[in-house]
Amino acid sequence: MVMQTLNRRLLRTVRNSWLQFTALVVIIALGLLSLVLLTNVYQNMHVSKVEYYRQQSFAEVFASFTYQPSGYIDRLDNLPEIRRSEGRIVSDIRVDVGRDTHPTLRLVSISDENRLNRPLTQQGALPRGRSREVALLTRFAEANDIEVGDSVELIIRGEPFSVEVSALVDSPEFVYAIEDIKNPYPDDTNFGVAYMDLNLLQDLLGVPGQVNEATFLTAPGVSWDEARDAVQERMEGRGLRSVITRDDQLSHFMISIEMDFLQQFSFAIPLVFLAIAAAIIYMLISRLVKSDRVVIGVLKATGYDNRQVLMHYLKYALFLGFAGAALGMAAGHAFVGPTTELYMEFFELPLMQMRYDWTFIVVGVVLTLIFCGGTGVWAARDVLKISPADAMRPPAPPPGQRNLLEVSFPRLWERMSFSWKLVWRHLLRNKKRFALAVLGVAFTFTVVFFPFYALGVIDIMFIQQFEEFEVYDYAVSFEQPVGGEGISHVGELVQAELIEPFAEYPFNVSRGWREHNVVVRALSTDSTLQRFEDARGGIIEVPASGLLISQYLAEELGVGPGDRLTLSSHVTDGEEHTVEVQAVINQYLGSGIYMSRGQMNRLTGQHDHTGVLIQSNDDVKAALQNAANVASIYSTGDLIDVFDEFMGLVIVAYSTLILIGGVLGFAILFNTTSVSIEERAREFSSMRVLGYSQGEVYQALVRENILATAAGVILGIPLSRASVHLLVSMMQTEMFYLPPVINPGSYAIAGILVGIFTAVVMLAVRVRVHNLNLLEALSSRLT
Amino acid sequence: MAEPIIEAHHLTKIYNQGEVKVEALRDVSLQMWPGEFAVIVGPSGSGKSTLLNILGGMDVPTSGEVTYRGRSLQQMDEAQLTDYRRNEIGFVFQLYNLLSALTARENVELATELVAEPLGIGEVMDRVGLQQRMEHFPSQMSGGEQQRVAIARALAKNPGLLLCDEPTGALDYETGIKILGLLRELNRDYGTTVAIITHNLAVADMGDRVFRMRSGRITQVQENPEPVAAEEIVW
Ligand SMILES: Nc1ncnc2c1ncn2[C@@H]1O[C@H](COP(=O)(O)OP(=O)(O)OP(=O)(O)O)[C@@H](O)[C@H]1O
Ligand SMILES: [Mg+2]
Repeated sequence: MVMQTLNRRLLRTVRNSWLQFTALVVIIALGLLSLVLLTNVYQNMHVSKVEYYRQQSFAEVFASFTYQPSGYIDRLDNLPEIRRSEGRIVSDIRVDVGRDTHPTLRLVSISDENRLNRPLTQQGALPRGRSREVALLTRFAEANDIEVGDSVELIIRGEPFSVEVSALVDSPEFVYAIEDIKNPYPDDTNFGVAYMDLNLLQDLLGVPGQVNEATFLTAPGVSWDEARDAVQERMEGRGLRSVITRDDQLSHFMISIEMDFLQQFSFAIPLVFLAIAAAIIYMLISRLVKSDRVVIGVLKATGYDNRQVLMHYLKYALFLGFAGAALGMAAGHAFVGPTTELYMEFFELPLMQMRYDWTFIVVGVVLTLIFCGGTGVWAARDVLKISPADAMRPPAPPPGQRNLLEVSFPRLWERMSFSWKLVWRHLLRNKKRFALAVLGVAFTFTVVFFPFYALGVIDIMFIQQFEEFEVYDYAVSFEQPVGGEGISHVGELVQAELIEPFAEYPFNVSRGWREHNVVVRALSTDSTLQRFEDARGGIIEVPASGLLISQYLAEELGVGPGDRLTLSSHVTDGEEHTVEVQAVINQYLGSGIYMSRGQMNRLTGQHDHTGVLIQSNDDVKAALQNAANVASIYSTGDLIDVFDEFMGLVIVAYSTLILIGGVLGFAILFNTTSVSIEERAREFSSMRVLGYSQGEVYQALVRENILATAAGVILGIPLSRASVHLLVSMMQTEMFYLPPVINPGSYAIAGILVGIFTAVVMLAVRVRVHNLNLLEALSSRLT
Repeated sequence: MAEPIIEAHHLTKIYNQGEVKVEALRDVSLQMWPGEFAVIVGPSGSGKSTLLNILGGMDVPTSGEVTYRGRSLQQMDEAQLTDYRRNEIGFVFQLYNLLSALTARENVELATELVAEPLGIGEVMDRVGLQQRMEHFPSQMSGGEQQRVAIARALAKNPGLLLCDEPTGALDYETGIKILGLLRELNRDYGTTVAIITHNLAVADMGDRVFRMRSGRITQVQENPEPVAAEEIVW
């Protein structure tokens, strides 16, 4: 009953400092929102992915090779490690969709016998028999305005072949549809997939009864790696190009990276928010207990026991915690659907389930109890030390003492103006609170800094990669290797300033137990279209012998200059060669191994060219689209264009990050400042009565916060550096290598933003200074 | 006699507390003369503090007017009121209200910083008998010592009017007497006009004039041609 009066007091306290508490509740809400949202989105995606793979029988091992009789491939299931083996043809051609440049179309054969990698029909029906029909990947069709019933012209070996689009489909193999690893972003207008009858395709390509790929399901109890090794062994010497497990399958690999991130963040982010909320709660409650000393004494004198009084303060923490938790979980719940859909759309993953996992509510409640409740009890522990007699004693002024500055630098202290002394005294007396403010600013700085680092680094990556390393505009790969006359032929077809031939073969590269499948590119030693920079930033030539390796692969394989790598390939008939690493090179987009033509000759005995680098202002894609021997054309310009489209998304994400940083900074600084004002309300009122103006009182607070902000920014610089290094080391992949190069301008911008956040806080507390009650200082009442 | 230093004309102060109206002051008028030592007495709740706060520019009356050296406080804006408190008023609180983070000297500096011609800190501290304790913090001083610092702080601005609301309320008898004696001395030596609130009728004999209050009114103004010295008071 009497507790009800105390509860009313609680509500009144909360209402009087609503902005302070709201800021705190928002932080807690953000923490639980991210928990509920990210974990549920991850779960939905995970379950959808697994279910989708299962329904469409996504293969577990994939092999590609030069054309082999399909009978031989189908019989690979007599390997004990293999449950099912299916041969198929996969061939990249070009397709005329009525535009100047013809997109690359990956033709994939299907037949009635196929059970694996079945496309999921969204519209229409899969091609039947030998009819001249194809099923197109939905996102490609949509990007090119193609509908079921439309006709498109396939260009096969230079000859147009008209087919009707009978269906739009999705496939577990192309959830993330990219042509190859050199093009990290889906470019739906320029790359698509089409499914076509196997026999028809065999006829068109002139390879009756043959296939060039196989997909497998493993036998029960056999690991994917074991199955892969078995296939590798069996097919050695039968034109095998590569065998990979699903883990290395491009689309699966790309979503796995994204989903791993999502999973890691779904726990890290909520914990960060809750930890910050806990720090603020600690400060608020311990301050409340301190100022309530007389009240607590009176309560105890009246007959409340420790538990009841402690409970009163715990309720503040729990009230705030659960207000935030409820808000956050409700908002999280509301966002799960749209966010899942957004992700699904980005990955073209058909939604198999939209579930809301209620166990996360339990997790959220438990986390709130631990972080808010636990902190509340800890902060209120001083309640136990207060005795009923404290109610009767007038409050002893808090002990004053000489501060560090005064003792260590008496000269400086003497010369300091009085108002600055005031600031320093308060600051050094409330070191913990000042530390929290400084940490808050440093943390905000780091959060705000990251987007600017990232934007800066993306700039550096692209400028370096395309202006210094990959100076060429196009890299054309041939179907079949060509001699010198083939290169001259390309020269006749395109208006090029410079053409440099290269030879490129897939290798299995290993060192000890570590291995990696890499397409190795061989260039002439004096190549000017592709150049290399070593780790120290010096331009280096392609060495006559030995190889260059990009930093990501060097780290993966654990090698440095002087180490030796073992290379084998179908071109070497599986024979192994060891080659010395001459240098580790900087490569930000993609990764690779490079060597001289001479070194490649020694490994493979091949002298022919498998492709050319071209520097040209001509539209090389259009010029070569009907050329028979062209397998693929990689355009640095297209890559930049596609990337620019993605920048929109990136900027939205980064703006959100900056906003969150601002909210965090505001919540921390506003609370520390408010507590500082409350604690000194009496002193500030005394000053006002003495004749200090509001502005002068306010100025003391402004100075304190300027000091906290300055210290926070100074601390934030190394903190953000360290965070960037940590995050960057987490984010390195085969596609991207983020250099931890920090543009000093990013620090400046982050510093300015943090300054603005501080200014906003100061505006918000201005009201509090204005509302200081002058008479409070005069009143003898204490509570 | 000269012009009054401060005048109150028909002050009323009504606190609206929901349904209940509290009339803290009802039609209070008074004049104080330069250099006089006035004592305000009356039972608890009679409106003493309210009156003093209004005179000091800390609070505003519901109606009526206060003029200081002929200037109306009610005509002043916020900045002018701050200037008024800064340059003309010294205030001593019952609970001292020292800034706990500051030393005794710094607490006085807090006041001297503000005005163009303050009294010397050393001199003022000497007057209140605390020159040896200048570098001490409030937590290291007794209540009487803290109150003396508070008086030094109010006095150091060399104000025209020193307002003290029960300056001895939290002190023991002996110490209280000493503080009162100090105030009377300062009033004589510096010519500062002093108004003191007290519950204690015995203290009244110390004043040049005594204002008796009851229920928001001044019920009696008593002149003491020969005020009693502090040490002679017995209560
Ligand atoms: N802020 C306020 N709100 C409402 N009523 C108030 C307020 N301050 C004072 N009062 C009322 O005004 C009346 C006069 O109060 P005041 O503090 O001036 O009395 P006082 O003579 O100083 O009493 P004491 O000797 O106990 O200090 C009292 O009835 C009091 O309850
Ligand atoms: Mg009073």
